[in-house]
Amino acid sequence: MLKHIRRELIFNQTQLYIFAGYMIIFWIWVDWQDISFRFSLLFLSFVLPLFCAASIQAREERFKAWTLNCSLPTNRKTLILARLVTSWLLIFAALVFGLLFSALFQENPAFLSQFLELKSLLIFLLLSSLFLAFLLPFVIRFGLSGVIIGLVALQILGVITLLLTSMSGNKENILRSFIHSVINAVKFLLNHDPTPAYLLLLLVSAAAINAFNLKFSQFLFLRRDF
Amino acid sequence: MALEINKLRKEYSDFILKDISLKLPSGYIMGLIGPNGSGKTTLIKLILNMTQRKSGEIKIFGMDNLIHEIEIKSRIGFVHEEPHYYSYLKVKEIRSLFSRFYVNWNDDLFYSLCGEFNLPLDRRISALSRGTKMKLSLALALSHNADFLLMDEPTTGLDPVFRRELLRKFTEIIQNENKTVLFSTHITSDLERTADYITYIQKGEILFSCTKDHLFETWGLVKGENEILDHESKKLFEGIRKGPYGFKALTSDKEKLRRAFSGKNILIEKPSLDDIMVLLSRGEINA
Repeated sequence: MLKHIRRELIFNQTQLYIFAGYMIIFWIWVDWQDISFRFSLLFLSFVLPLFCAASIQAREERFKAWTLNCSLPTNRKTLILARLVTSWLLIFAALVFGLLFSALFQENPAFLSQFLELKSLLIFLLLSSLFLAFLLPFVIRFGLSGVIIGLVALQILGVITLLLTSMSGNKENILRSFIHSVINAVKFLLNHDPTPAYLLLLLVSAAAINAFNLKFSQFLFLRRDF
Repeated sequence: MALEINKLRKEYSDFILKDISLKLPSGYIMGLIGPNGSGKTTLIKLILNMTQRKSGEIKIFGMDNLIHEIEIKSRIGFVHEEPHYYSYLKVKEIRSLFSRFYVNWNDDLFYSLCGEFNLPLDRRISALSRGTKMKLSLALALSHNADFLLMDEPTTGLDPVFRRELLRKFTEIIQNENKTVLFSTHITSDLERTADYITYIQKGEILFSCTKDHLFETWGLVKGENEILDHESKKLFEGIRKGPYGFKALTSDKEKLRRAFSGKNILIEKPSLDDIMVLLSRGEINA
């Protein structure tokens, strides 16, 4: 597995430099502008999986590197497992870097202590797992063009939501209800008492989502032709 | 047997590889020829499990290529028609990546091949010409002591000097060790120099797969006047091209044709692979 992780990191070194630069800017912004802990957690839960799934995949498509990877003495299941493991390594590396950065420069001491709570870390794990479980199979199935179309579709969805909201005079609509449900679900997760059962549930859910993600991504990747 | 393919089928929306079968014994060079889009690359990709097959079986060194994928790939050296490496990596970084995947990787051999091919170790891939990339690809394929070299159009885009050098290298590999080579090409003169077996593929079907000697012994290029061709005699040819001054046709059985046309004014010559390709792909087939 180590040689696969090494391959991923070497193949994507330029992307990693860009990502590191982006993370530095993000944490400077968070620490200097006193951005809330909740926003930071949600933002990172989305951005880190997005980088790992979409950005690396985009490089692979650009250089047609899957052809090269699939000719190596390995199988496709291992390639996907390596991608998932590398994604999690990068996500945790980015998180650790951010927390160290905050420890040095954050003026609000509550920010760091909130982030370091087991509940917060497990919620971050769960949300990141959810996003990654959506993004990784999506990019494997639809590729870079699929990601671009998906992002454009989300923009259009956002515009439609705004239009519907203004046209209906702020009355409830399906999209708004959905977004509210998601927000409420995240609030519920964050406000729930950190009982051992709850923490265990978060951990098991994250593990189950990752297991599903791995199997589903492998299934999709096995069906691809290069 | 290095390679054994049985009733292999692959279906795309606009192309079908139709239940093809072929065998390649260990220690020989097989050339795969055919027009563009005939299925050569698809076949090579299927061997490497880069493409999913519809049905059939591929055995390499007697092992199924899906069940023993890792073991088989560690014994295969693959050269792609368009080598895909991340352009910002250096030659030595590519070596470092590859070497960890192969148990039999030989660094000394790699550096010796780099010297032989004039490969600049510190140069980025983006700065290499297509020919140099192909040389790198070949050096990587040879450096893990592969038993089976699988190459898709390895000589395309190379200058004649290096092409000749590459073909000499193939022959050297075969002569020195018990290695097998399968390579596809459009340049039929390359095959006439090096190949032991020739496989011709067209529209997803193998029209013939035999030794080069057998091909040149039994196949013939027939020339004669258009008047001697009738509906029955046309059936003896694999492909015919008529011109204002006579016809040119291809037969897979010279002796049979000689008997059928005895007393008639025809000329039977040894065909070149170019003649075979042109007449099979562009001629009036089995008219």
